Amino acid sequence: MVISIDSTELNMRDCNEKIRELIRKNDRIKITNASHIDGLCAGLRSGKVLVHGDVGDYFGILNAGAELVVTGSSGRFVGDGMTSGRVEVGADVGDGAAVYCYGGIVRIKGSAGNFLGTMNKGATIIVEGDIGDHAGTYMVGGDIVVLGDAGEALGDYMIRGMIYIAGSYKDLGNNAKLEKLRSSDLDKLGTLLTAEGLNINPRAFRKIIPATLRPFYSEKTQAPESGGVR
Amino acid sequence: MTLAGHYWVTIERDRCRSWQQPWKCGACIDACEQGVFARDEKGRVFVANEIACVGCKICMEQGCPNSCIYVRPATPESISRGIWTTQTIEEIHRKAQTGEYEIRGYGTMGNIPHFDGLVVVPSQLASKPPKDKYREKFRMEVTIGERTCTNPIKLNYPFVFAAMSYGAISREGKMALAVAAAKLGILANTGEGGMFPGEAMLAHGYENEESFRKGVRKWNPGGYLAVQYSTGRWGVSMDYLQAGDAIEIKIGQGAKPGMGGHLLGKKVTEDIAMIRGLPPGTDALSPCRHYDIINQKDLKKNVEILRDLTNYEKPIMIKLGPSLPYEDTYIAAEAGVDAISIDGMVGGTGASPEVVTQNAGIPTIACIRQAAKALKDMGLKGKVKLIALGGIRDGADAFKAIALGADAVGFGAAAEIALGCRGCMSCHKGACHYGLATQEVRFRACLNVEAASQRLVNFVRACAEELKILAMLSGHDRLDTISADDLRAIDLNTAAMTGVRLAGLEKVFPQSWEGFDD
Repeated sequence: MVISIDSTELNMRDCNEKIRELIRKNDRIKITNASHIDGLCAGLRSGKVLVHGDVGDYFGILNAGAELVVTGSSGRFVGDGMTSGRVEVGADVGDGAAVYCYGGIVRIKGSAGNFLGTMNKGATIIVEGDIGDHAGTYMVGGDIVVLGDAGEALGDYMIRGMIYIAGSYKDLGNNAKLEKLRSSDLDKLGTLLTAEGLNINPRAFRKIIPATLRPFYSEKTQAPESGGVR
Repeated sequence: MTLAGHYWVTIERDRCRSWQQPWKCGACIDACEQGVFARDEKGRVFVANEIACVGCKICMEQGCPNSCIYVRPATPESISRGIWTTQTIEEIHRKAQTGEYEIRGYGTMGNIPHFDGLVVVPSQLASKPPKDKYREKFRMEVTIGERTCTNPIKLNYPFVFAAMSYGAISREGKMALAVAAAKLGILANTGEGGMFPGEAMLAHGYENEESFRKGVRKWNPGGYLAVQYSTGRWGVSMDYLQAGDAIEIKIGQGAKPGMGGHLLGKKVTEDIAMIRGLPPGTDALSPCRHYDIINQKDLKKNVEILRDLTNYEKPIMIKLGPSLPYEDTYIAAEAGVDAISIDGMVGGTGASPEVVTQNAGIPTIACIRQAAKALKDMGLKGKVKLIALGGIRDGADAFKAIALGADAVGFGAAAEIALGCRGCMSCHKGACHYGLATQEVRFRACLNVEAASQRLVNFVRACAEELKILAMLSGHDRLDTISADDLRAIDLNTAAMTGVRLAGLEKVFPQSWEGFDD
């Protein structure tokens, strides 16, 4: 059974309280008129939520297992800090989408702003449109799959994880390097794209991986030679 | 010569070649430009003109093959040589050799104005009478979040432990801190490195899972654990946020304000890497800012969301580095937090570029008064709690910080020292021989959690007694009546920085402090 919430008159606290209360008994919830609410569906552990229309900032922050779908666009920081579950946005998202994620899947059907997937630690982020600058900054795990183009400093100081991009990019960030696709990548991408219902040949992608494990400091910094002119 | 007489030069005759074989060697005579050394009539080298020595140590480095010359400053080099001390010269040489800046642990070294410039005014005839420390009661409980939360934090003492991450500190060190907090009934802090399994349980006073299920505390009265929501978000999840008793949003810290936490590769072991979600062996350098808190409105929204995530039960705190204390505190209080920790520049750290530790930030004493003033101006004094951190060493520092406007103080380095630290400033190397700032099993085994936590408990209790003595002799029986009028500054720097009246003059100095009312 689908329960509907009209959140025109609700604030974040009331709306989230209502969602948590309803999700205990029902599996699916439908929300309308929530574009003014920041932090909608914060920290849900289970259930499925469908939001008709747009949402504000911090949609699905710290999501811990719920499946959240937005038909319209989202503000900044969608899926921030997610640990598991799924967030799907039907149109464009703002800056900082899917930052600090530990796991789960973020699917963006439109374009994304700057700092997409910053400090991603294990989530899979799929963007069908273009992305802005500094995507995947200081990424330490997970995958970012981009079907469109990217801006500057792609994968800046990434340490682990992979970025797959089908379109073009302005330049790579520090410590990011281009590498050939391997068969394991093709398998992974193929499975992922099929599961997401995207009919694209995985061979169209280019793979970006980190160059070194320690881009900031060398061993020398930690143990400098003792002083003196000798 | 400007440096005349500032150095002692000695030759160890037993090892000097010319004293065994006269007329041999003499390398020091050739090396010294100042003519300090000469031969006597038998061909033996002696210190002929000690006064000429300028302390360049060329005789030690380029001359003597037997390393038997010693050059020692007779006066502190900062006085005799001004800015070009041996330290400066060695530092330049090191940078010239390696091309890298230095990273080290611990706090700011050198002459930073601190609480030593303040004295406590005891009660005599003109002021209200003193209270009897031995026979009268003194109330020092502090509650955080009573206005906004259903589960506020009730500290038995006006003390907290400063945030130190699991990673910077060993598991045993973190356990000792949590157990000490449980024994005292105060607040421990996870730091930014996530929480190891069972940390919250220990901080609440339960020894293991079983006693937790039965609800039997081993350590009474049971403490609290604040979980940090930092710029790196290491280990942050719903479970993490809900396990703590308070959430602390970290904006900055005293040792490296404007930079994120540093954890160098050697300390990122398998366990740390798993909790933080990093590859082992890499450097865990937190970003300098929150990527999802761009402006003041975002901060407000985040505070609201964190309250929502914890069901409006838990206090939200914020930790600020020393920057613009008045404005920063104002913005933080406006965002709706329950407590503001403000860290002075002398605050310590596990690893930081030395240039930042030594040069960035403002002293602790200069932060507190301005931060308290901001809360006063907003009408939130006493409602939003101000926690002073950074170089609090004893009960006297705690009293002075509270008099300047803080509601509670935090022990960071002092707590580490109580656990066994000796201040070798090498926390970043990960080879702490006392089992604190290390992840190596052989060193960790040196720290006995039970004994170390008891030492820390003893230290904090002693500090509480010291605070009590000072507060009662100046006529107080509770914390919130203590004010800056109970202090006098004994030097101009401190008076000018804190706005506390200058001893003897009995006025604030300079006059721009007049009318400053907190």
